[in-house]
Amino acid sequence: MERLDSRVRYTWAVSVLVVALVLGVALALVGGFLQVDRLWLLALLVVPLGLTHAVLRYRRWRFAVDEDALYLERGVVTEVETSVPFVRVQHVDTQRGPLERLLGLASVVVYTAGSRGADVSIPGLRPERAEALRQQLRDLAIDSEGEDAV
Amino acid sequence: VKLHPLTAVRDALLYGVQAGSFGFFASAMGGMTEMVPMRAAFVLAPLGFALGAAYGVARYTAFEYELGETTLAIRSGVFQRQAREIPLGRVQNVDVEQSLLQRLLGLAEVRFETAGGGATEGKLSMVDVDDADRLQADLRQRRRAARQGGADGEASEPEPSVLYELSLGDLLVLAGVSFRWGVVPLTLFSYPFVDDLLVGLFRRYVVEAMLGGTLSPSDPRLLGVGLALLAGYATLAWLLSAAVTVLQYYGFRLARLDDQLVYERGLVQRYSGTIPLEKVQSVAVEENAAMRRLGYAALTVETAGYAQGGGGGDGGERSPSAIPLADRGTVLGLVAAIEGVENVAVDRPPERARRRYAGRYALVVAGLAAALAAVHLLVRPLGVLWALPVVALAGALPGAHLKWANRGYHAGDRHFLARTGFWRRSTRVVPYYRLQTVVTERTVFQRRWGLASVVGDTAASSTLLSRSATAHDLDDREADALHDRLREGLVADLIDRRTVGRRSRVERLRDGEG
Repeated sequence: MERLDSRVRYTWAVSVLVVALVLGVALALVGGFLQVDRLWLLALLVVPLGLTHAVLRYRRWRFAVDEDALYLERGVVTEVETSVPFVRVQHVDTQRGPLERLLGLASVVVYTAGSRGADVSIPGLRPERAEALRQQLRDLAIDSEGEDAV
Repeated sequence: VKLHPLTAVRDALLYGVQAGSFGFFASAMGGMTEMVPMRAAFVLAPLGFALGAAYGVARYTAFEYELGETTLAIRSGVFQRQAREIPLGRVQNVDVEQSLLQRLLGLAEVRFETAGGGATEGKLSMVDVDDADRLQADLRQRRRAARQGGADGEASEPEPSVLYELSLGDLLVLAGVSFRWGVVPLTLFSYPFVDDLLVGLFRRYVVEAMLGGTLSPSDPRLLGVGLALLAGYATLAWLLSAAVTVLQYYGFRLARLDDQLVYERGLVQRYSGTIPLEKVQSVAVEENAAMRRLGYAALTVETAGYAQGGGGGDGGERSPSAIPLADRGTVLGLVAAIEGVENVAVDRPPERARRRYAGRYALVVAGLAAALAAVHLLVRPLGVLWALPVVALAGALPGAHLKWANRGYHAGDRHFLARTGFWRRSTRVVPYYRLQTVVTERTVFQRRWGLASVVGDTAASSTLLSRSATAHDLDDREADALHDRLREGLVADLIDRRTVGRRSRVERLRDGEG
């Protein structure tokens, strides 16, 4: 089983900080309205929780390109294991957000025709790895071309 | 080919009135703020109407469709021109709808659904009803030709064979046992009715007695009045729901025509649809508590045609009913014919799942009790309401049992069966080769009990209401085994279908009639 690049924790950590910041501002406004001092301090609670979550999430995240399917294991509160048979892959993207570019990371997103298709994405890969994975998945999808998906 | 000319009239009126009333209100607003004189309404409203009507006519002239040998081509749009081609092999459901007025004028609306896109992909509104029939027949014929490898126009149109008809008696049962939540907002709109019956009575006997001082606000009789009001409202809503059901499902008929299921229904508004058997993703046996009691069941057939939450036309229906209500045997017979599954029996989750549900419900009750206690102590005494958590607790244990007893799964030779729900029990039958992804989920709470859920996702149009086939709360190891089984089943079944060419649904149905 392959693991993600450890730098992915930083992208998650940054999003935790952004959430905390937004929450802090919102709480500060509410606190001002209700005349409760320092309500925004509550937002600081999010930070340790979120950071722990990010670390655990990194530890849980695993994926493998099996013989017939892409297999993912992830999730902290709810553990999720997903198998995406190659026959079912409609198309594959690599994506790089601004933060990911900054950290030198990329994600691979796999689309199926299923009703929960787009949630199959692998974050925190090195760009070369993401590129290679995308091509590998594409080739496997073509090789295993079977009956029309829908 | 153009749409029916009356479409131009309808669109002209529709957009004319829209734009006209916009002009009217705009000038009325302007008049109030004294920015434009009120008189402007006499100019702006007709001007708006004229512009809107012109747009409506332009829409009609811009719209053109053509059913070719391999594609359905549609050109549309006044300002933003659009040309669309739908390969016929990709068409999923084809629905024809006729409102009362359209029936009187011999018109119909035809909708072609594909698995792509959000809204209905090909909507022909309106065409002559004969054209609608011809479109469907042509589509069938072209599909047949494509299947037989281009031998064009030879095969004659086969006769439809009726698989099922909803009798009047069954229709009334259906109306009685099914409740449509859609009527709840309707009851609020039918305010005068509700006002007279319920609010009127309430005002007369309760409010006046209170004002007269003969009834105090803490009188326990008020609880009775409240319950009676609730019961009255529920009866009203139920009657309304029954009426809607009768209107919708009157004259329901399901037939097989070539490689398609064809159904029609409706008393005032006629509705008919086709489901190509080769496009069926999964079928589901639906039985609510009352139907199970009476030995009835319903069958829905899922394709990937309907977009999320859209589609289906009236009643916000997601996947069309193949059978809205019939005795269980008939329904299972059709499941056997469509999917080749004789038995829809499932294995229940392990016993500890039941304890989990009981614990969960008990927690909810405890929360309710705590909330009530807080109100009682901090806000005001609640009187007899303390009995509420006790009643709820009495319901928690049977509730947990029923939830557990109505869940289960079965992994057969070619199909995955998953059942859930007490009030509305649904047993989904998914052929392995229709699976898209397989997902195992373990929440924090499930992990405590060593349980897991396995989801077999298909390309069927999913909605919030109908989740994909899920085997809930299996033993951890069993879940892993099922996950692998589904994955292997998909691959094996696909290879099998490619090499051997299995007996198709169409053949099974044909033989079944034999």
